[in-house]
Amino acid sequence: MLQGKSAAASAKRAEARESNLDEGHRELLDHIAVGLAEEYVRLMEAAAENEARCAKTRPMAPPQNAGGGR
Amino acid sequence: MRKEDRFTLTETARRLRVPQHRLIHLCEKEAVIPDLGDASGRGSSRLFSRRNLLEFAVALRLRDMMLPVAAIRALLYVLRAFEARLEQDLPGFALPDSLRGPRAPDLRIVVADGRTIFFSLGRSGEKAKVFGGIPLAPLMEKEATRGGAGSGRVRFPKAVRQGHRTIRVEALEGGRFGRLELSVTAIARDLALDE
Repeated sequence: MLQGKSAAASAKRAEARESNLDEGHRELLDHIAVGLAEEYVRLMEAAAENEARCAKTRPMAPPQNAGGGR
Repeated sequence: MRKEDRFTLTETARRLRVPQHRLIHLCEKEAVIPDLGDASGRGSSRLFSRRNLLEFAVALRLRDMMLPVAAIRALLYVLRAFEARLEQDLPGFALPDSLRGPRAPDLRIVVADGRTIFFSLGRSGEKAKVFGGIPLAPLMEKEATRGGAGSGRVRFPKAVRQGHRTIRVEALEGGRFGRLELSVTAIARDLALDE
């Protein structure tokens, strides 16, 4: 119940902010946000792939005492 | 939501190391809208989220760079829309926390020649992709007509209305006169959230 009230209030506040923006203006800003989000996803996926590739090719580290320490 | 994720005005001012009146000004200009409670009635007080703290930190830096509040309001709208879109594509994405991670790319706000605003996104050491630009002049006109005479309707040039693909980014790359850059990622990492 409280959560529902809070969500409604939050939506109302977001609406208030949007009402300060012209329609054409909002369209441009939304377009920029979508472009940024798509690029963010692409960069995160590329980073994950890169990490996976590095993990596969990384040689296994020898045990610290390998080679007959005392 | 955890209790420690809600911040009063006093707490927010302390964490950002700024006087409260600077935060109140940004709220009254509707650049930052409190996520968890507004000072709308008698005895009510503003309560801010972690995202609000990032918004304040970005807004304060941009004010220090002399950017008008109207422009800051538009930039914070982009950050909100960016987050809303990513919440759908990457479950668990949330500002500012997702930008604080070690793998997070560098999100920047770039003001070119004091006239046009861009966003850039990329990994450090690599060429970033540029999005924009948002001309400052129509925002200022809109602000001037707020609450006064006139419709307040702003007409953007056609190329701008069509979106980022039509923008000549080489103008930004060349930096014809000069540019200011602000890293939102660096600000997010620097926030005193978990004290």
